[in-house]
Amino acid sequence: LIERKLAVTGGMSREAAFASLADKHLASSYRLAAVILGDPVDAQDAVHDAFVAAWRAWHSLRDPDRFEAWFGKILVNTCRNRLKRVRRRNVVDISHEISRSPGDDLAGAVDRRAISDAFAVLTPDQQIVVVLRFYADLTIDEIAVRVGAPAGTVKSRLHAATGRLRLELTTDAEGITQ
Amino acid sequence: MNETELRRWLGERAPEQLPIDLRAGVLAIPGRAPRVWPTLGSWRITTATIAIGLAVVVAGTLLLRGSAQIGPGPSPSASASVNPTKTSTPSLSPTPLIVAISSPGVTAEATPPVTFPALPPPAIPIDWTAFVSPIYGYTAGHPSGWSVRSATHAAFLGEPSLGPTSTAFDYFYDPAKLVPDQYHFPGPGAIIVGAGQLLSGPIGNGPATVPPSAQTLPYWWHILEPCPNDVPSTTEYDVMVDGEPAWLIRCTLEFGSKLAYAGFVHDGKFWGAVASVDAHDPSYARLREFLATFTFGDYRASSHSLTGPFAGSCDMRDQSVRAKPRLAYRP
Repeated sequence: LIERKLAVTGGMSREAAFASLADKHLASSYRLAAVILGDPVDAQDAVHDAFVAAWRAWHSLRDPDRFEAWFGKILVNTCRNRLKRVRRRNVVDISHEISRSPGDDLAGAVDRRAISDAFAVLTPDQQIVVVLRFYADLTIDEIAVRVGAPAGTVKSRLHAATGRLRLELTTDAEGITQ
Repeated sequence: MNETELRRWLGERAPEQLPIDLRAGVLAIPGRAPRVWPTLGSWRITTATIAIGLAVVVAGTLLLRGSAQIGPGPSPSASASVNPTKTSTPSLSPTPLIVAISSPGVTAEATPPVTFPALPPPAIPIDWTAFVSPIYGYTAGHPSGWSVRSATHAAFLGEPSLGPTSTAFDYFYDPAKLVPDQYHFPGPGAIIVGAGQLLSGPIGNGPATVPPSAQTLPYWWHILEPCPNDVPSTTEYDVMVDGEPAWLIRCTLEFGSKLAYAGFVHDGKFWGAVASVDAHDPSYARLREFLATFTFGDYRASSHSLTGPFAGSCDMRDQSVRAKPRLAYRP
């Protein structure tokens, strides 16, 4: 058992192996969590919680080369749970969403606001597959591993999510033109 | 909307910089026991929570319905010199660490020692106002525009009236943020302070009596306030209060709200300060600023011991308790 553990961690202690892998994937994990949750502070908490969970389950990581997928699943699950809690909030600060960037036009700011509103309508599961597909650029199969669902379910969620986004944005645009 | 716009919008949600304190916090995780103590977790105001919360976190665990940044604390006085603290070998390293304490029958993993940063002595900024607690005797500062609702009696075990109507705590708050309800409850950003000797007496039926200290606070916290849903909070040792090592605990609550607790012990009494935190103050700067002005005074509350309904759960011989690793300050 000891030999296997040493092999898993490349001869390092498990503490050192964890720290090394965590450090390597921390920044990307934080950004992914922030995109999913839409709040850097929440993302910070989620990432910390996810790494705590990962440390607790460290024994279940058999191959350090699979850390990214293994931890990605933990992180996505943590974000999902947090999203479900956060969705109960009624007030969402969207001021940063509609702030204009240098060189930006008003239409661009309005578009972002519209996308933000539409995205907020999606279920947590739909939001996650959208982020994993269009931000993280994962394949359907990779997303399926992250969310722990069959590829067919992921496809279905993605299809429903994009359709809902399209519908919300169309409705929003019609509301503006009227 | 096309795919490109969606990708661009998602990309804009990604922060550019990684918080330094997040990295420090994550890299410190292996310093914990395999089973991290549940900590406070999500805070819920229930009858049981209120009763237990008062027994442990005398300061206002009760009030706000609803996690600690790492980094240097505020400098209350630019001219203040760094002063060695009363505790053992302070370190200038701000890195917080969480370690496990072993109890009889429990073998904790080897962990690095916890160090406390040396801080300047308490000083009240020029534009702040000093306040002397009529009940608890401490002196602390608050922003000049703030109001104080001071306690009229010391907190005691079984405090009957908690929350907005309680008069056992000192409330520091911005009057512009008063919650417009019948209680005029201090709103977001308020700081609530209380103290008591609730943990000073023999606890439980076990032979081991653990006096209150920075080392044992987390233990009692864990025993008396088990996490309701196992959502881990973060606990750090990066705060000193008038020379006493303190815990700074961040707790994410329902609806995404957050609380920051500071717990410390002085002269056999447990002290607590709690602040609500919003997204605009993620590093708990206000609570840290307040704690930097805190000076203990003469507080002679009568002693209490934990008996009755808490006794069984605090029995040191309880295997279910002993089996759980817990945190402690280790000089």
